[in-house]
Amino acid sequence: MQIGIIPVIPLSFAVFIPLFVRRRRLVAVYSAVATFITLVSTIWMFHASFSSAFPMVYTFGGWRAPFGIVFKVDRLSAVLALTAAFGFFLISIYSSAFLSKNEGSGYFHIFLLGLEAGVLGAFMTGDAFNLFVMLEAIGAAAYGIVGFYRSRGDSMEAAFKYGISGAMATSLYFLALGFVYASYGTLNMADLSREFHTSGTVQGLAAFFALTIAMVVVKSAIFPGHYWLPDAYQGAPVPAVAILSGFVEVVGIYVLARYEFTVFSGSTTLSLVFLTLGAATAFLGSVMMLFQTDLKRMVAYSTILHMGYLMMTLGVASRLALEAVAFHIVNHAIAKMLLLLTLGSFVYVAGSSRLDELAGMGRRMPATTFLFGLATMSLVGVPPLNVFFSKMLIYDALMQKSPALAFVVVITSVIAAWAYVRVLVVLWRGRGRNAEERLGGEKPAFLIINSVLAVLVVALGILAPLLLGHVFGPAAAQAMDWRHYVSAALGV
Amino acid sequence: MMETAQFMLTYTVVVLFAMMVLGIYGVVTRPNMIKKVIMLNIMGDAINMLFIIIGYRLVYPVFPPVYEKHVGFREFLSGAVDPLPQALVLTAVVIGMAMNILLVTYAIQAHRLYGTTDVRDLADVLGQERREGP
Repeated sequence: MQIGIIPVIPLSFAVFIPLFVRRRRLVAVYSAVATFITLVSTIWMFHASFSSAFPMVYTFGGWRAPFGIVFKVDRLSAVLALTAAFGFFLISIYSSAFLSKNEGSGYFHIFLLGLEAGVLGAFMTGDAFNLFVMLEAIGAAAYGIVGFYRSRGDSMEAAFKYGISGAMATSLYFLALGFVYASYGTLNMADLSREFHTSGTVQGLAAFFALTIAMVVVKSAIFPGHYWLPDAYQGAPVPAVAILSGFVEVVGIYVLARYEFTVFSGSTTLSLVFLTLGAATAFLGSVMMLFQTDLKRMVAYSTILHMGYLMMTLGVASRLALEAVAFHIVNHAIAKMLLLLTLGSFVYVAGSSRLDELAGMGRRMPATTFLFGLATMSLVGVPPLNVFFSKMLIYDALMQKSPALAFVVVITSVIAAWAYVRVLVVLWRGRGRNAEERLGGEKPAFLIINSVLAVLVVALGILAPLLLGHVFGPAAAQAMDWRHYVSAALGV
Repeated sequence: MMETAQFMLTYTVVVLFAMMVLGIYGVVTRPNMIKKVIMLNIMGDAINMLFIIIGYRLVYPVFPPVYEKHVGFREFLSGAVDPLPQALVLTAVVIGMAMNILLVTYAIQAHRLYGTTDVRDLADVLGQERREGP
């Protein structure tokens, strides 16, 4: 088996869904099978990348690296791809149950599989232009999934806003590629890295980084470009929000990390930009969390907060920082999925994500509330749970720069904890309008998926030292070794 | 002759950059959704043109990037335009068309639901809905 086929699997399943899009059960099984096959393939790829010393290379059509498009999977890509494939598998099952009351849930699965293809492709590609194509693939599927509720005006407006901002951002990235192609005469990442390390910095590179950061600011919802995200999350179905929050926003961060740590390693004079943007984003996200009346919007600001942490950590150009970024991406995705899917259980029963309509729902659904509480504790950073360990790594990495920056992480975590406690109190003790009416209770399908995620939240936390030593440490070390990266692709 | 050509090339690049900035300005300031999409296209086309100019070379005679026997190989190499930017722009144009269709679909659907494509009017209605529930 070749690694190049992995992003093609979900896409090739997706194109046949329109033939039987109205047969709900068939689509649900079909989509689960597609994502499961992808998950098995990424497990294989994960294993293969950790047992070989060099990054794995797949050449499309047999055209060698600088001439053709290549996929290049090192350990960092493999870890992120595995997490994403696992997340998409769970979300595929969950969304079939969640959207069972809705019209046209088959179309949701088309977008879901398309999104999976884009996300896996973006993590695996070794070509700067192919990355642009993957970003547009992610974009098209993400704008579609946000506009799923087409009879709701707010969804339409949010999807349009997201779409036009995202399209503008990726156009800017296309222009950035023009600068880098004019400067170095190549778009293959390994070839770019070799050219950069032999001929040094050129002026075009500054324009490239400026435009790429502009793209990431919009796509990953960093402070001046975060405006679309709360509306998009409020308008999208909850399982789609879990995907967007866990895997789609971090693609921008991954792109920056790949350029900063692998391709143009040792060049960065940008740490002030990253640190400023990240700290501003973290403050904005945490403070805005306090004032939300809609839980989806609150989770949206929590995502903005965590993107701020990741952006700040990119400003510290050390191996510890890359390790922290990779581990935090994985932990945040798992914990945020648990938070959103438990929230989805409440939304499924109560029919709304507004806090005043959910008041008192906690007593009706105690198990879900417990898991919801676990997710909030993890995201805040309570010790035995997973996000604590990656936050600690981020804290350590920022300490290398300045204690004030590390203190930003502590302050914003405390503010976020306050926001979560407020929500939990209302959920448990509040007297809702519909708390005692005809509504149903817990749904077993949701509980099973949420329990799997909860076990992972605890297990990733307990096993954190082991994982850091055997998975994320080697992944960061390999990603920062540009000589290996170049020689694996170009054979020099 | 060469100086004029150099001037024209520089002039074109400057105009295209101005067009791109104009496109961004338009997307941000125009309140109408359809006009936003039009401005996005102006910006995208300016970027596509800039990309094609990267492959252009200020030599004479210029050959198309297809090798023909009667042109010598050395002459071909020194006079042919770079085909790669054209291939990349072709991809970007196709993607841009798909994005246009998606965005215009949302604008049409918003018009069906609220009878307007003006984002200020939509913001008035939706701001209230988002705060107080539909």
